[in-house]
Amino acid sequence: MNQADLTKPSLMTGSIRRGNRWRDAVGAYAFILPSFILITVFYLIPILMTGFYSVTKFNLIQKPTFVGLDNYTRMFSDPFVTASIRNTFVFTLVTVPIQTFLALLLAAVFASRKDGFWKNFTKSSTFIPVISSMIIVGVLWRMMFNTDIGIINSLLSVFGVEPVNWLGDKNTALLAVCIVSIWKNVGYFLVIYYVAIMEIPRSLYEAAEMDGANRRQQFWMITIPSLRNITYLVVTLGTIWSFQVFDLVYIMTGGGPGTSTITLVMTIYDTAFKVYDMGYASAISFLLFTIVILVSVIQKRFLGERG
Amino acid sequence: MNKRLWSLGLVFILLMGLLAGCGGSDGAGSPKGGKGQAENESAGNSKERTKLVLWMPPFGTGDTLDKEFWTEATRSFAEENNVDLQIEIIPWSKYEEKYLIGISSGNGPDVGYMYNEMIYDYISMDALEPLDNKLTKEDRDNFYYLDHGVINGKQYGLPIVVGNARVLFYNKDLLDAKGIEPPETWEEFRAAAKALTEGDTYGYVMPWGEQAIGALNVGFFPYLWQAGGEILSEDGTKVAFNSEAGLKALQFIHDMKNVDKSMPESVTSMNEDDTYQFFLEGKSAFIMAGTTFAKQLEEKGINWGFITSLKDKRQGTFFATDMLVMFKSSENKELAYALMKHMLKGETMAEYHKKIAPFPPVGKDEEYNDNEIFRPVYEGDKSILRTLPVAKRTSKIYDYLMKNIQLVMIGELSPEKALQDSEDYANKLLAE
Repeated sequence: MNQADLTKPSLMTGSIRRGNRWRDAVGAYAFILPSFILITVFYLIPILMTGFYSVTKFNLIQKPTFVGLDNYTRMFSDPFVTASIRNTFVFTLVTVPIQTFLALLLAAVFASRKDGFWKNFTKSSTFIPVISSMIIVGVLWRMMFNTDIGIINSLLSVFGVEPVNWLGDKNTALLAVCIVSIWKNVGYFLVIYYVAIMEIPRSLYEAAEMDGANRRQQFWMITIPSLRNITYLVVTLGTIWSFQVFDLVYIMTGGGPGTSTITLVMTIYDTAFKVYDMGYASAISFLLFTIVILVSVIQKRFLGERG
Repeated sequence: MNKRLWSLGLVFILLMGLLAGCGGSDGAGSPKGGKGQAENESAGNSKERTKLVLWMPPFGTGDTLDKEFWTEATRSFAEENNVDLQIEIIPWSKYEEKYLIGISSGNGPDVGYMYNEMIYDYISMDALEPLDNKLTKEDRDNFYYLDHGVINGKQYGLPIVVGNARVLFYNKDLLDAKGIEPPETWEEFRAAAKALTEGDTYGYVMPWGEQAIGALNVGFFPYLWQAGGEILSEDGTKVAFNSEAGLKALQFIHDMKNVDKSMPESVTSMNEDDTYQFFLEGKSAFIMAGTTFAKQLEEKGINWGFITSLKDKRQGTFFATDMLVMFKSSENKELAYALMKHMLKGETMAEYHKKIAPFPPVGKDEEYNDNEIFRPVYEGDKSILRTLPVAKRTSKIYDYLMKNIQLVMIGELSPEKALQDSEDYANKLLAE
């Protein structure tokens, strides 16, 4: 760059300067246009359409009729919806903390081990549940939780525990689903944490060691605080996923026994495709949408980036 | 260099997979795709062919394929009428979804197969064509179960798959070992089940962990009917199961599990397949299942017998009457009706019952081709064989009822409360 270049802007007249900015702007918009179109068509417009249908009565075949806020007021006296909200919240509150902490713990353990065949093997194994088909996972775990011949009860009987009616008891059915969900997701978050832990400067640990901190103290005082932002990501992702749980529950319990394992997405699916009540299903979808947004906002407030 | 080769190789393999996938989807959906394509090509001639679309569910098992069967069975019809018949077999799990999306997007079939729980909603959506003025006197004389296809006073469906009556199977060896006679009444049944429960063996098993509302067809409705009750009121505007009969029925099955302990605790996590396995392993003396279960019993070598229906106030059990329906959106209604007639005629149905799945005849022009043992069930007192009432929202109502009954079976809810709660919910839905 020579002197002339540096002084160029001041040599330009106003209109040429605006022309350059305009060209840059057009270029920028052109670059983001494809993604923007996709997001608008596949996300924004369907969301707006759902909002529209949520105030109508609509069965997909005949024209929708406007019903105001009926669908929304109906929701709170609907036993399926109230049960779904409760179950989905319980499911989230159980799975997210456990899978987050397990992923973090395992990642820390892996990070402290030397590289080698076994480390890589076990690390990769934890990712296999993540990429496995949910249908197969559900079917296999259903067999494992079988009250009479399932492997889990067989193992428990070795310790003298009576057979548990896992999927047939109101109190254990949701727990069983939580266990499978945690098992399936831990690998994913473990990878994220592992990479993040590797990024933490070694010097912090060395300094702490010189100050006399033991491994446990290092973990709590250095590792965990450094991973704050990653934890925010893991918790937010985990929460959003758990609010969407459907296929796992559908295969393992069908929502039963009673209404002890039905989830919001299951209720939306049943309402749309078994009862053909699209308007009501749209309203429940909007409820789910609102809940997820609220929860994300709250999480950002407490876990998000500081300062 | 090595790394580069590996990456290139991987990309190549992925590309091949992508191309294979795209190529594969051009062919017909079934494994015998090649034959299907040849079918279409040979059946055509130079004149413009009328296109008809037919949707059917899968009843074939293993190596018997429904699509192959129907293509063959309708070949003469397609040739005679210059029709390009496109047949699609829809898996049960996607059944309702496929119809809804197909019809709402204008890509529905001309003729389709529907079962009771879904048919009413399509009638109320005004999607089905009434067939009254197409049926001839001959047709009315020939078909046995036409009245099951009359809804709201119009003939919306022609029964095609009728049968699979739910009967009470029993394990002869287990009963003989304790010198117990096959029961006829509720009291005899309850006593027999209790006596047959010992150690790992139980008297009775029921699928209360089933996801589908079909579990009610073996779990509750037969007992409701036998106690003299009904599911819906005559006019279909209210439910009728919250009655003395309903309560008696629900209390009966509750007591068999929670008082007599004639059923294992795990019934609340068993689906229908689990209960079949349980019975096939000789762990239960009785099971209620469709007559098609007999095939599995024969294969397993179980020494079995059956009772069509227990008797309380009367006898009664469920049987399926699934229909062929015609869609209003069809552009060739005359031809579509001709197709339906062709599929339902004795010749076609006999082949279907022999090759794909055995069911009793739907019309006089067919011999009985189902399992001989069940002949008395279908040729005897037809009033014992009941179907579900067709009304709106029944899918959701039965779902709620089933969930409440599951809670009763776990012992978490009283039968009275379960029926009252279900009635309140159902009547609200029906009133909308």
